Amino acid sequence: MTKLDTPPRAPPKQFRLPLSGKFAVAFVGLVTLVLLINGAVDLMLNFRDAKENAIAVQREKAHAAAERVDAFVSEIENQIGWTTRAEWRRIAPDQQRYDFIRLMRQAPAITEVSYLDPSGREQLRVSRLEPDVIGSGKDFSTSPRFTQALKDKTWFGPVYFRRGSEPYMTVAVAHAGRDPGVTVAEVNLKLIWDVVSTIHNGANGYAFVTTATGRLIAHPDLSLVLRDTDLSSLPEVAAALPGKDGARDYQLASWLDGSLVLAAHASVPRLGWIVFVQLPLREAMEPLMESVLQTLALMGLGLLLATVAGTFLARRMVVPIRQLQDGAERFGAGDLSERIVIRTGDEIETLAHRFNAMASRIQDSYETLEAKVEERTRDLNQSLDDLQKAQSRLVQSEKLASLGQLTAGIAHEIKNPLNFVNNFAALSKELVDELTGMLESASLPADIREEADEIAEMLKNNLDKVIQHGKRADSIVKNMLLHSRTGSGEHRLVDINALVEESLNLAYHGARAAKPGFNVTLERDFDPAAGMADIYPQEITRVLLNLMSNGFYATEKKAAAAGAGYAPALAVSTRDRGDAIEIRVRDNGTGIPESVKAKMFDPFFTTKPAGEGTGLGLSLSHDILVKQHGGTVDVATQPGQFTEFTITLPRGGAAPAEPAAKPVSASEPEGQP
Amino acid sequence: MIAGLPWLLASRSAAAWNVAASRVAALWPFTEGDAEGRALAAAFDAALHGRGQADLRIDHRWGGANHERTHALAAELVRTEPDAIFTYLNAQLRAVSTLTRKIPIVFVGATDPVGYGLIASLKRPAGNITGFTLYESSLGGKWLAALREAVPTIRRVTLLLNPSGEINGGYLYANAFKTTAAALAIEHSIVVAERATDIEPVVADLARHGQAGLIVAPGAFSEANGDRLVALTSEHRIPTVYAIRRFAYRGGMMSYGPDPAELVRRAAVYVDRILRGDKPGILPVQAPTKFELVVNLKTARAQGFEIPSALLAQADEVVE
Repeated sequence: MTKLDTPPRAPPKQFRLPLSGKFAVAFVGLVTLVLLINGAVDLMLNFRDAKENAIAVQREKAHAAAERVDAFVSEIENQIGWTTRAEWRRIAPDQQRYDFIRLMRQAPAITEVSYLDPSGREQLRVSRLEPDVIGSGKDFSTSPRFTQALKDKTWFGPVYFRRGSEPYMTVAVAHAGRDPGVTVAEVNLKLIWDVVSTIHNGANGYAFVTTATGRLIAHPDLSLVLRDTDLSSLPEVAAALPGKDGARDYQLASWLDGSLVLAAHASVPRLGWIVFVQLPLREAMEPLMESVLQTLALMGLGLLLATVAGTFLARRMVVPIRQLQDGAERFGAGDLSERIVIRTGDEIETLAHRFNAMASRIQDSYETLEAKVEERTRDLNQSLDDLQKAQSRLVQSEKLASLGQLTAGIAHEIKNPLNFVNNFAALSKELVDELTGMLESASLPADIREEADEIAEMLKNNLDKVIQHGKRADSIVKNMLLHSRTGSGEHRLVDINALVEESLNLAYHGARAAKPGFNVTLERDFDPAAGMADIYPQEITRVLLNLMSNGFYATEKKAAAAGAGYAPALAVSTRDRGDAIEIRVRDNGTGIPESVKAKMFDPFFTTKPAGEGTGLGLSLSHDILVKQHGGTVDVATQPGQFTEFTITLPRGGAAPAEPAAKPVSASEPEGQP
Repeated sequence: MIAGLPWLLASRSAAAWNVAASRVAALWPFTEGDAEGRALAAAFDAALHGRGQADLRIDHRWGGANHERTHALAAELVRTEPDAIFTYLNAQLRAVSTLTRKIPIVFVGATDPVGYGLIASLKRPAGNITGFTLYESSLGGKWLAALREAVPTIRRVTLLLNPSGEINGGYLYANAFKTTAAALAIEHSIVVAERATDIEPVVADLARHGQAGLIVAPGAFSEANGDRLVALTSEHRIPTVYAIRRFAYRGGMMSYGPDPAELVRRAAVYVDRILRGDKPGILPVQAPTKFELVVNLKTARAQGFEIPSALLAQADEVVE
């Protein structure tokens, strides 16, 4: 059955996903899809948020850093402001020097400070590295530190490097009042490092400062600054340089070492510097990473749960289906005894119930069918048996019929010569009497006379015997004719004892003729008062012959089985019963089993081997006795001991009776040759 | 974004890779057990440990001022092939630098490393050597000016140089010293002390002259003989300016110079960066930004000098 499920051309090894797999895949796939979409949307929103947040934070930090750098420079400016009071140039040089020393103490970034008088000449220089110089008179009147400071009040010089590596900037502040001098300070920008390195930006983020041309002024990695690094080629710096207005103040860029950073910048307008704040992209995106991890973890968890649930559900769904399949296979294989047990409380259970119901019905039909077939087979066998029996009986009947005709022919042909024998014997007797009479009258010597008389007497006796046996032969022939004649003949008054005696003789001789070694003791017990009865002698003879030959058959069978010591005997007796006559035929043969007794009067029932009996003997006898003559027939038997048939015939029983149509007209007593 | 995750995560642990079982050797101009040496070595160790080099092995060698011993130790150090060598002062740097061009060397204190050909430039040393200078040659003038300001009556000053201060065509600090002395009209002389026995004649000479002062330039010799100098100058009441800070605390009258512990700590940062993969050739040689004036009023008074208040106002620290 299962072969019908697969298309015949499908290769047998093709991978087939089981139902549970399909279900699980569909389930897990659906959940995954939902999770993926959810995760993607979540990530997208988170990414935007995180980016905007990070940018906002960076921007803010850049501004804060710019303010701090600005504050650093302003602080130096303020410190220098100590020395820019209007009256400062009028105080004593020692005091001025002292003020400068104090200024340098206050502002560690200042390495050297000098005072230019209103004419631009250096009046005082105090340095950490060199001896202080008073009144050197060096002319700075055309130097920008002087001119620009006077013009703008404060002048920030360009960044320059001392000793090749130390970044410095000159800050010049014009004094207050009319006709002012200028205080010039050399500021070591390495000290901005203190400021810049305290600008913390996350764990790994930091700030750095460049000039308007992109040269690095301050960076937590001081060595970069001391190396006089030019960052103008860096995209984030290039984009922030003046002249690129309108550019975003944040940038996603790669730093010198190639790592990705999120950089924001703000400018310090007074100095023209740009403060950058940058954070490694990884750190900036940390919240995003967390949310990504969270989302991924949730997705993983969801997926796991979905897988577990899907597998569980698929199993739960598939297990009953498997059971169903197994059950269906069992049913298909013909095992209808078991039932599918599924307790899922759903359609599958209903389906299982349907299957069970179907199996029950098939089982019922199956059993009924078997019984019916058995019954039919039995019937058919019975019919076949009956047919075979009927066929053999027909053959037997036909044989008997032709034998009857033959017998009639023979009897007829024998009768004529027998008539001659009888007639001439009677005539010869008379002639012997006449001869005797003639001899009496003649004189003869005494001894001759005596001898003649003796011969005559012997002749007469011989003739008597010829007559007697001739009559007997005649009687036999008559009987043969009677039996071979069709129809039941005519009813008349018959001497019952004679009829019985004749029948017994016929039966005995018939049996002996059929089997030369046959021997039985015949016991006759005829009631002289039996007298006459009006019967169909032909039919009754047939009945008696039948019963007697059955008796012989039974004794013969028992003799064959019992062997020596058994004396087969058949007893026949008649009794006068007033209006009826009773005839008994008793043998000491095998008897009749109880099972046979009930059926023995049924037509075609026989215990003899096929071909020996027609099964019609007792049936016809019953019909003749009961229906034709209004008599009865009873049987008393004891298996292995005896069988005794008792016939009761009314004296005038045949008178009203119509001879029944005899299907077998020429039926003969069985065993009759 | 998701595709980049593994890449972002992977780059995290790269830094800690090189650090395991690194070894650093340090060569000091102090004898073993010297308090200053131990303090500086402790500062060095602490700075490195503070930067996460916890399981770093630091091998301190104490050569003292002994030239032969220093060279022997340097040879031994180089043979053991440490991951980096730290040297303190010029003689130690020279001893090591001649032996290797491969092992990174971080120095504190070097006399004209560019002129001597140890490095290409201060900005970009380019070789295996980088570090921090302790002094500037202009300080020769500054010390003299300070001494003059402390003792305005001074007429004669001797600059005691260390042999390690030798540069092309002269000695470090000498020119600035001479220029300033000339400007201040002070009689000056320069002595290069090579042996401990060279000190006494110098001090005796100054004492004989009277109104004389001494400037002790920095160097391994000064580190080793500072205490003896303090004793001698105190004995002879010779006002002395030391470049090395600690001698002002130990009885010297004044000192003007950087805080060596601060520079040692910063050198430790360079060592750390080198151990983490930076090339010494790209780390610029740095100069100190701050010099501190320490005035020992006790000594000044004991020697009978009154330090002017203007100078006291300049002093970063005053020992009383």
